[in-house]
Amino acid sequence: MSERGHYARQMFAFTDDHGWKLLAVLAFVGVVLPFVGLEEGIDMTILVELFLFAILALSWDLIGGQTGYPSFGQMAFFGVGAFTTAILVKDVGVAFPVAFAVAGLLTMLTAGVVGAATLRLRGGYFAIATLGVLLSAQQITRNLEITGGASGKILLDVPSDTVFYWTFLGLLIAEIAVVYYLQSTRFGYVLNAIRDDEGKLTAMGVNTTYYKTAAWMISALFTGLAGGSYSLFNTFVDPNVGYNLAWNVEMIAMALLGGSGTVAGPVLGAFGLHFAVVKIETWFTGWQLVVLGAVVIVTVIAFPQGIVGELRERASSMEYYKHGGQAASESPGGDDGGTDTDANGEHATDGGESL
Amino acid sequence: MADSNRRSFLKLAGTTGAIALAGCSQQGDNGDGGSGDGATTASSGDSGPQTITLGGTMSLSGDNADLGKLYKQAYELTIQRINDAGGVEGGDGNTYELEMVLRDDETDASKSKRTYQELIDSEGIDYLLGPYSSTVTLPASAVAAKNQKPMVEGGGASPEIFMQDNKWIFGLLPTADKYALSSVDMAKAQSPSAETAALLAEDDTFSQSTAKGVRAYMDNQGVDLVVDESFPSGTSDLSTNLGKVRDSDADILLLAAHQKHAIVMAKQLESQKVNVDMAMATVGSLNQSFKDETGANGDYVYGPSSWAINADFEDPVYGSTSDFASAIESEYGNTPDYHSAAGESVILTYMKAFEQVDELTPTKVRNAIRDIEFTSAYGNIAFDEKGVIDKEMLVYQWQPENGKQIVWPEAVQQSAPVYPMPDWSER
Amino acid sequence: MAFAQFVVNGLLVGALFAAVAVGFALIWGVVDIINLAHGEMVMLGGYASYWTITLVNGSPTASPGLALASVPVAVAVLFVVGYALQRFVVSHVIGTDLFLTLLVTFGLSILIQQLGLQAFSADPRTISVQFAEQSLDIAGLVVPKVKLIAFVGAVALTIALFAFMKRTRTGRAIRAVSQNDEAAALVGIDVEHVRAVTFGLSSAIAGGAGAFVAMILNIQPQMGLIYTLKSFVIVVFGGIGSVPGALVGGLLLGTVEELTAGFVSSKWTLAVSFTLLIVLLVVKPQGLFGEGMGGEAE
Repeated sequence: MSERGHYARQMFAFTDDHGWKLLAVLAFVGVVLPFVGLEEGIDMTILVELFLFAILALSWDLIGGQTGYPSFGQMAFFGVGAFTTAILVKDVGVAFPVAFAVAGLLTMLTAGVVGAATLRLRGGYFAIATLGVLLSAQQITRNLEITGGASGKILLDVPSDTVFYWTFLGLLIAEIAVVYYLQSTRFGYVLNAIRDDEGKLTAMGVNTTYYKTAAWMISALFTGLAGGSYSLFNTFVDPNVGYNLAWNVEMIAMALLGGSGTVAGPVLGAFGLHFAVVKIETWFTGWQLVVLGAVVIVTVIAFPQGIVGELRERASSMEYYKHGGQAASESPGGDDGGTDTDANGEHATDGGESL
Repeated sequence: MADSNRRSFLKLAGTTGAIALAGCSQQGDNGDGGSGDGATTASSGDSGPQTITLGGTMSLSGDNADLGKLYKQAYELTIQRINDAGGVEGGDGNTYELEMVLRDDETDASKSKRTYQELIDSEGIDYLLGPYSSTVTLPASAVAAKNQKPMVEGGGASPEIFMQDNKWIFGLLPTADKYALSSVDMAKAQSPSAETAALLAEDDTFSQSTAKGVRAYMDNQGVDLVVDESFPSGTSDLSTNLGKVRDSDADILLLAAHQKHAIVMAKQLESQKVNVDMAMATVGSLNQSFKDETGANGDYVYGPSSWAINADFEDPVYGSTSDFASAIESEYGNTPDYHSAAGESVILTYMKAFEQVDELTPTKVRNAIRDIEFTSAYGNIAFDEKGVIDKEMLVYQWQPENGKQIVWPEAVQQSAPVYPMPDWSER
Repeated sequence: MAFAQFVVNGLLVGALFAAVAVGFALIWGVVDIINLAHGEMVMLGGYASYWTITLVNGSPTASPGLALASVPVAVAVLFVVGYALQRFVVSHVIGTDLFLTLLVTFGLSILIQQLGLQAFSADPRTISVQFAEQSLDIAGLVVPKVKLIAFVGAVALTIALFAFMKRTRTGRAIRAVSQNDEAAALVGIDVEHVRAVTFGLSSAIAGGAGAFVAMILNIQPQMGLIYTLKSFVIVVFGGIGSVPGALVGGLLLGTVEELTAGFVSSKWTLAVSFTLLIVLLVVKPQGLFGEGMGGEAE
């Protein structure tokens, strides 16, 4: 415990100081791969999916983990983006980049409208309202002519997988950069403060509506752009694919298992869990969902604060022992077992940056 | 301090890198496969018989696992029989054993792209088995075309699959738009001839295609559509819709949906006092389990099938249609239906194609499949220029004395249809 | 006339939704758990009843008496299942974040569903209840007898739960825990046990409802999701955590859906109920009937 705690502390000290460099390394690896032999095929497909899920998990975490508004309908924006590009590219005949931009704009607008109505709710109420948005979006899409109804859209005349590799990689890096940057700004502090005590903040005269709506729209933007790219990448979208209810939960699982309220947590959670899913599907064909269900339950019970959160916890308890128990006063909530989503935000004291 | 920082960094970078690169090691794991047209399929080495691996996904769990099971049975048993009889005599002079890799797609259309790509690249599979359901088949067939691997499928019936100018996909089911047509023909030919119809359709790709096809056909045939409703897949109660059918006095009722709705229809026709001359469900009304669950309420219900279980077609593996039926029944304890027969013929189509090519490459096998002609337990197998088998639907009916009977077309009928179905008050 | 028939159809099926949703509301209010595996309890209850009848009769056909007798079996089995799930699994995440409990119950949901698939196969099953005449004709309205039995049974289950909460010692303990678990522990209530009993009760009612679902419709291992989703809608209609609210909410949802199916089109039923859910939450988050006993589920 203490030995691992030691490494964890070192690691976080390092990642907090060198977040941008780590991001650059990640970006470098992603950019170099296609030049050192990564070709279209299964490896690229899996990498695209890893990027995709990391984008989704990070998007969810911006609103769910950082701001404390537990969205349970994030896939609604994915679907809006997915059908926007599908219709524009297939039926209107515009080029993918244009459709992609429109999809982003449209999801942001949708999020603005939905947010105006739902962001006044908190906790479980907000969760159900957003779930309702997702479910009715799915049902309405199923009944509309323009979206292809239940049959969806077949999209064969689309850019190559390589284009989507770059798109998803670019989106992921952009999103990591945005979220990481926001963490060190006043904007990021306010989001975390909204999560911790929105009432107090309002009393202090902070316009929380502005901040949480902005976070909500940024989160929706990346989700919508991911959806807009995915429908074409998948060559097919229907209401079950666009508003995938399983993914809706999976992206939350990824963020929480990785460590909510951080940047590294959701990304690593997404990489880890999706990679596990891919492997489990090959190894336990027909039983993969049984295994997946068991993995989720066991992981949540064993690491209630997520993997990254757990490491942070260990790091800070190490700190505690080193200072002969003095550090406890500096890290409030260090031992209460995490009664809220973030579970570790308090320890990220050096600038609140963490990757 | 600097030192341990460095170590921490390496650890972290290692983790990230490992995950990012793990995908790339995939290919290494399973040997090199799918390296284009020239390569024959991964063989197990120089010693022993060579093998050809067929691969695909199926609904082994998820909403359609009841039907997915039938395909899996037929695939497995047919491959086993072929191998027991000495394998496939390839046209290139070698003898091959068949193997199969079957993954589970949960009937989830967002899984099929990756899974088929994985089968091609990591498992080195050159000959693909199609999945069940149209939505999963659509992205899967795109992967097949892109990688230039033939895909033979017995589970995706939406006409859209075959309208994409895809030269690599072959379907053994009549397209969905044809599913309900022969039932309408039958009802038109009876006396009193059907003049009005009610159509209830589930909100999924397949059922909507069926509904679209039969709507156009009835318009053409002068049958008046008096009730035309769709319902979400999650709907389990049909009473209000059946009440509309009752009040409309429609002559015939067509339910374009799956087995759970077929069962509810059979139950609720009685409780809602719906008396129609013909009640037909497109999928799931002909399985033994439908009749087991609905009991007497399942009597007189009609259903379409692309397969005549009593037909006497010669089969290169089982001998004949009836031998195939009894083989499945004795091995697995359930009666086969057209899904099983189509599944069997997926394997036989490949076997026949392998026998005809002088060299085993995906392109040559694909070309052979285009021109293939043979008979199997399923019937005459040949594909039109779109890649679809030319087959019409037969109509079956559950009859109280004789059980499941082919009632249409008349040329192959086992019994005359009991038409109109007796009113509930007379049963 | 058509209107009355649609309303009757809606009430008959709505009572079942209500019986499913009261359990969902109960554990949300008391244990503060949104149980995504709640629909699976309905499914298991359906199979418990189905297999009981098949064991007794050799086939899933039953006289009305036997069909009714299988309901307590489903209730009892599901009470044990629910109690065990809370005691051994869910208790580990009590008092943590909303989404951790959501993840655990999501995991349970797919686990139970998939194990059900392996154990029972995906074939849909149904219990046929035998009557000489399947339906009553009341003033020109068609009322299927089996649905009437299910309606009465579902309402009875709900009222029994309500009475249990109000009248019994355990019921009072449950309410005490829901109001303040620390204070309840101080006065000697075994909080862990009470929570598990609550979970058990919630699952038991859902299981009983499942038995009725098997009689009037059919059951399949993957059937749970739609019941969980409908429970969300109903609980919002009735106010989170409120048992009587859930009963009214269920009847209301059934009626709204059948009226939509009757006068608009059945393809819009789910779209209408989910949209209503959002509107209601935004306009009147405390539910149509004042506040529920759980209060703000933070």
